[in-house]
Formats: sequence, C-alpha cells, structure tokens
Amino acid sequence: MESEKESAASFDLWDVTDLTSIQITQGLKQSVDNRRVKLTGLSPKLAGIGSGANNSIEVLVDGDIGPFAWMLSQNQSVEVTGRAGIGCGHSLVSGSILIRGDGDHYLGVYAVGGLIAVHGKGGDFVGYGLSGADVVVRSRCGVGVGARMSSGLLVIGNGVASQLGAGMTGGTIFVRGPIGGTAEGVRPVKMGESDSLRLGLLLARAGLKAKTSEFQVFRPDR
Amino acid sequence: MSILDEIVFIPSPLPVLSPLAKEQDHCLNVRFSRPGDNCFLDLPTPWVMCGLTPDIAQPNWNTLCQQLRQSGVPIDCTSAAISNLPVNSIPKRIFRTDIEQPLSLSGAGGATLIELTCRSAWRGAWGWPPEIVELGLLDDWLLSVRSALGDFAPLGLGLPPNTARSTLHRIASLDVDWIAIHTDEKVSLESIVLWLVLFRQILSDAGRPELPIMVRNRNTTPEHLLKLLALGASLVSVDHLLEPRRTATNEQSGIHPRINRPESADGAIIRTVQSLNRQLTHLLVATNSQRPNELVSKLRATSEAAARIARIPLLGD
Repeated sequence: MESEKESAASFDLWDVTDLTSIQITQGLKQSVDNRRVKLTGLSPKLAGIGSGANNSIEVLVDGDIGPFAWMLSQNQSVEVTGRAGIGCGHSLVSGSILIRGDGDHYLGVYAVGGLIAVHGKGGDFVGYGLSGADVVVRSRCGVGVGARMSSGLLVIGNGVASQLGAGMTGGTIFVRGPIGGTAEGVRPVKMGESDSLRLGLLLARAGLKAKTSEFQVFRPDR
Repeated sequence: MSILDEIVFIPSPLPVLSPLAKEQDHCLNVRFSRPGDNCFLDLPTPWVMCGLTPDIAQPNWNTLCQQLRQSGVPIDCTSAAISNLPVNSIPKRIFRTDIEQPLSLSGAGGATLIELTCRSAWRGAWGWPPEIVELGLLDDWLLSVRSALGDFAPLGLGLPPNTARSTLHRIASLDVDWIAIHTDEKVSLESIVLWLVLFRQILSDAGRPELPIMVRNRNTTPEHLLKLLALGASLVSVDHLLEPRRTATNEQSGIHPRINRPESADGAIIRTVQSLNRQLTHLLVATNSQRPNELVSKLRATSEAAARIARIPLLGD
C-alpha cells in the first residue's frame, strides 16, 4: 500500500462535511474506475460509508470512520488515517481496507474476501464468522477473536484475550504475544513452511514488519 | 375450535357470490412505500408462497413458477432456484437471509422483497445479529445493509411471534419497509393473533398504520386467512393451498410428507388464486369495505377470550 504522503497530491479532494452517509456512498459508487478520492470532514457518526460499493477506486479517509463501513463492498482500496467503527468490512467481498488507527469490535465480521489491516489494536470478536477474507491487526485484540470463522487468515500482532477461535470450523489464526485462552476445539499447530510463507506475504501486504517465527498458529480440531 | 373460529364478520357474507363482486372495484393490492419517498411497490394480491422449493415441486417447478408469475404471487426462494427458468416463468421473488452469515448480493439481486430474518443461521435461535452490541446500533446496521444491498427492494425484518412488546416498540421506529412474522405448527393461533393485533396497534400509535406485515403461517383455511387479513396481516402465505400434488416418485422417496393439493398443470394454481381473490372481494362487498385493512371494524368475537385477544367487540355488544 502506498503511503499517504506519496499519493496525497494525486487525490480528488472531497469535503463531505454535512453530507449524509447515503450521499457520500452514492458519490463513491458513481465514481469512475481508477479514480482516487480523499474524504475530509467525514463524521465518525455516519454509518455504512462505502457499503455496497463495487467500483475500482482508491479512497483515503482523513480521520475516523463510523460503524459498518464498507459493508459488502468490492474492488475498493481504502485507507483510513484514524479509527474504524464497529463492524468495519462487514461481509467484505474483495479489495482492501487499511486502518492506521484502532479497529473496533467485529472488525471484518463475515468477510468473504479481500484484506483488512489495522495498524492499531482491535476490539472483541475480530474476524467473527470470517469466511475467506484476510484480517491483520498489528496490536492487541480482545475476546472471541476468530469466533465462528470458517475460512481465511487472521493475524494478531500483540496478543489476544480469551475465547480464541470459539466455534471455529476452518481457516487459520496467527497470534504473536500473550493468549488469554483458546476455545474448546481449537488447537495450536506447528508452523509449516506454507504457513510461514502465507503469513509473510500477508504481513507484507498489510505493511507490517514481524518475524513469522514469533507467531503461534491455531486451527480447529478436525 | 381455534380462536379464529370464534371470530366472525358482520354482516355475515352471503353464501353465494354477489354479482357486484368485481375484483377491479376493490383494492386487493399491498403497497410498500417509504415516508418522504415517491417510489412504491404494489403487489397485486395479499398471497405469498414461503416454503416451496424446487425439489419439493419437481417435476412441476417450471409450471408452478409460471403460474405464480401470472398470478403475481411472490415466492420465497433462492436466486439459484429460478436461475434456469425461462424469462416468462420467473415469478416475483422474496430473498430471505438469516443473520450470522455474510450478506450476499447475488442472492438479493432481482428480488422483489428482501427479508432479514432475525434468526441465527448457525444456532437456529432468534435474536439480533451479534454485531449489534447495543440496540442503538440497529439504525446504523439497517442503513448500512440497505446501502449494501442496493436499496432496490423493500427491506423487511423477520421476527418470531413471541417478540417482546418493548422490542416491537423499538422495531416500529426502525427504518424498515415491512415485517414478517414466522410461525410453524408449534405456534398457536392465539399467539399469532395476539402478536398481530398488538403489533398493528403499536405501528398505528407510532404513525405507521400502513406498514405491511407478512404472516408466514402454517396450514390454515381460506376463511382463517381472511380473518388474519382483517386482524392486521397485509400478506399471508398460502403454500398449503397452492402447492402441487405430490408425485408418485416423491411419495415413494418420502421427499416431502405434505397433504395433497390441486394439480399444478393446466392453470390450477391460477384458478386457486383467483378463487381466493374472489372470496376476499366477496367479503369486502358484503361488509361494504374497500380494502382488507378496513375489515377489522367488521369483526366480532363469539367468546370473551377471543374478544380479549383480538381486541374486538363481543357479538351482540
């Protein structure tokens, strides 16, 4: 992902102060492919920004985003300089969402494709019901990480609380740091070569530096 | 005797069809609209099909769908179920999705109505989605889902009949376009009537007296269906009246143990729908009503229990 400094000059600046979520999302949906948009003045109280958008654009949000941003979206490349609200990337289909601040509860819930990366910490139930997407959180997360996930990769960089992988039926969770407790039916496995490779690629895509050997790997019991 | 047997219309509809009962003079359609929005959707009749699938209906699925299309009766089915049908056989479709699973554009695309059923696809239990960590997020969630699914079709919530009164009050203030109540053989008719009457009153108090309510009911007689419409239902499922007769193959394999229905060939479904329409129109004429939602003032109860549950006067009062 490009840094903000490198790409700022080439963005169309949209001041969305006083606009509604629907107006902003409609504007994003109607943008032509390959457009680069920078949103300023976005209220973090607005929910569903970018929901259902499926055009190939880059979006840079200067500030925080509200709940359920980019729900069921495709093909968008999103960077948020601040925090994300609850349920960011809900049912994400493809594309990428980079949060430079903290994520919140239910980050990436039910996401089926694409990448969600958080440079701060996550909340509870990060990756709940994950169904094929990749979610990376650099810092710590709360309880229930990876609960009910069925596929995809979940990477946590600085520990999780209890109930890791509760109800998990598939996919892989990588955790570095302290683990408050794993749920029944989830077991640590040895990091294989393919695991190490996938983790390394994912960390690189998320713009994070870490040694793959520092991570533990968890999968559901067969 | 069920509660609906203890509720009667006044004046009592004539036993023969009045020659004045012309369908076009009375409004059987069900309108879905949003406050402040000039767009609306009209379904021509209050009948829906909710439980039929291709494997149950085979080999009559194509014929069934064609007749449902001609009758204007929507069916709750997946987009895959109708994907191989010829264009002139594709009926109006209800797309329904449970919570605790990814949303799907492919499922919702082309649907006439969209229902978010508040039942976990994983646990089979009723409730709000887990990502709704506080009820204050409901409005945000619905707005996001509406935007995500394209806001092309009326968006509804599916609920069980034991939904708490406080929850119903909350739901009445949400930005939803319709509500479905899910019932099955284990749910008593008393519960259905109680819920229906209560919710219709709550909606009226909230300034939304016309919000459509669909009752996904179990097997009930046509007369009971009319009473449900009078009590506040806008749409009622009629699967048990329209499903095709089971084939010998289905019986032998035990695919689906249902009672027999009319043959689906030769327009029988269309005739059944027309018969239901005539019965409803006949009732409207006999009671001097223009629309089904006016029938409630024509209801009387023959027992105190029915009067209390349905909130209607006793016969003779």
